[in-house]
Amino acid sequence: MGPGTAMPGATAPRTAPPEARARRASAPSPSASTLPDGDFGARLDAALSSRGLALERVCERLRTAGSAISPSTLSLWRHGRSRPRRNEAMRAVAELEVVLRVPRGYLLDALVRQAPARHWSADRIAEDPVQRARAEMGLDEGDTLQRLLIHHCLHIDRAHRLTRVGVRRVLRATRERVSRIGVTAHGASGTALRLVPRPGVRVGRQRAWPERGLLFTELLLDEPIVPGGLGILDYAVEPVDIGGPSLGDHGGYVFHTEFPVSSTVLEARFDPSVLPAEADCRVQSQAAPRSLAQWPVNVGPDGGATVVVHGLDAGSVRVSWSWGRR
Amino acid sequence: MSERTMAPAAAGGAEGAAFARRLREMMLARGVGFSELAGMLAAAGAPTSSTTLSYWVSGRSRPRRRSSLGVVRAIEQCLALEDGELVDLVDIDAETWRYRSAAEVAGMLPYGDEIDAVRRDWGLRWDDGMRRECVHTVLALDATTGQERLHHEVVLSANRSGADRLFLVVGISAGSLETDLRIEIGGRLARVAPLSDELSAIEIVLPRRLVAGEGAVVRWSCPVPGLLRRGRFLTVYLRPVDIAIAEIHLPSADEPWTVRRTLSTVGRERPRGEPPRVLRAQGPVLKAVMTEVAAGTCLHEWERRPVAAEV
Repeated sequence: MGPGTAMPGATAPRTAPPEARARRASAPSPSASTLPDGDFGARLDAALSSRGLALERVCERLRTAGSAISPSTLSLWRHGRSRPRRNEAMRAVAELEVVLRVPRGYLLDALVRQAPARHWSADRIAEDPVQRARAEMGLDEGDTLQRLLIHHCLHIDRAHRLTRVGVRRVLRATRERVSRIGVTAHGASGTALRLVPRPGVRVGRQRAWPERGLLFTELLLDEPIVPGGLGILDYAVEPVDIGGPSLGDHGGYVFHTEFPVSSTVLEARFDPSVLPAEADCRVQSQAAPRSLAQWPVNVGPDGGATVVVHGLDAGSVRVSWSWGRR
Repeated sequence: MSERTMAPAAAGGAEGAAFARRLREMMLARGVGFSELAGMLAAAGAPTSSTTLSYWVSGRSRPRRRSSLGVVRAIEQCLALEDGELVDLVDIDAETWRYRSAAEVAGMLPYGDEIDAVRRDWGLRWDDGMRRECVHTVLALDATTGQERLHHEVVLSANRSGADRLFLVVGISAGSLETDLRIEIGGRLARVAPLSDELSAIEIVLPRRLVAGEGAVVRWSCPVPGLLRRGRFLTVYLRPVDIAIAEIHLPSADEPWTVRRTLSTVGRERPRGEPPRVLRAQGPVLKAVMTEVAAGTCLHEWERRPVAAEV
């Protein structure tokens, strides 16, 4: 522990003498070099120890800043028994960085970057063309963005073809100003895709692998997202050639993420005159491969079927449907 | 009170004391004792011991854990209280902002009492059982046909089974809404009522009752003749929204436009107002995004002239 620190959990007096307050105010803030890396719990523990405030005092200051977190929750986070997942908790973590006087992003980065480390390994980059393109363009999406909402709207026509996917992402920048973001679109093998930006974003560089149904696009934001600020990305992905009717009995769409997403929405819009016989949803967590949730999805008479998944750490949400007789 | 004598609420924090007092008053008013209430809560799927209830009523402790929020909401149901009446008085982690009462929200919004009177008149429960994941409004002032339009999209998930009714407040006259509102996806217009200052209340009924956890999307639009000339539009957030997006499409990017945006929202604990923000219309589209809005308004005002100063 550095100078001016106290044992974790030590209770600071409610009214410190002026000289003590002055000493505390002038105590050096921990810099990135004195704080350890590690998971969120380890970082929080280090930050709390370094600041030397009792959990109750930290919670009081958070409350003053508009974030109500209980000391017991903070303790659970600190010891790795739970971790912040909801938007409100993530915002409280941003306040915690201020209260604990750690560099911006020190705690939040550990949350948004809890994807498997192998994601960024050299082996992976060599074998995955998208990761290679991302690295070439200098688009390291993982550690500076918090994903609040990802909404995919699938349009399926009466010939059973997926004709368009509208995508909306609501993001918060955690640490750095973000002015460009790399997005990957997946289609069926042999399908060339195009990305159509909506107002607010423009297409930068692109790489396409039509034989694998892949398109990687650098999106340039008209208004960069400042640290702590929010931004919206709206775009659509379409096949260049829509092709003939789909003859399969089944259809489906998978959304996959390597990073935590607070709310994931998959909305399927079928032609009301040609509705699937049944549909279901499967959610698979990458962190816990055995955790699989599956449930039937209702398709309304207007052709709408919507799935909302909260707190997806890393993994996939799949919507599947079959075209048998209703 | 049959099983236990109710002691007066102990003095404590103002919030905790108010919760203890209100709970005690309502148990007395309904003639419900601790054991009976504990039994009702168990039947409602929120089991709680009568000892805990007695501690809460006496003010010796108060609900603080996240898991207690469901119990407090269940007590509201068991004692036939208004949605949010007790939740207003507790402070449980960061979740209580979603369950504020109609009375509290009415105090935050312009014409709040008038809005709530319509809701009661229509027999709608304040907590409609739906979580608003994202509410997106687009003011399309750029229509080439000369007809300005409001587009509205709500992404929902059901908190409880049976939810199927949306109650909204819109800055369009009731007459226009009745004749011109077009629901593109996800429901039908059931009722419209005029309010003050060009506001209207509307009820949209979903195609079917949702099952708890199920998602839904409702999209509708309505022409607003003369909106561009009117120069202002008020978006009202009546129920808690996780993400609110307010977007405005100006007629031409080439002409100088000034847009002033005034947000007055209430988040989890306190008002989150911001002074009017003057925006330079660099492109034809301006977007604002807000998170965790318990209730509030977003006022857009626009005029065709260069920005004098940027705030």
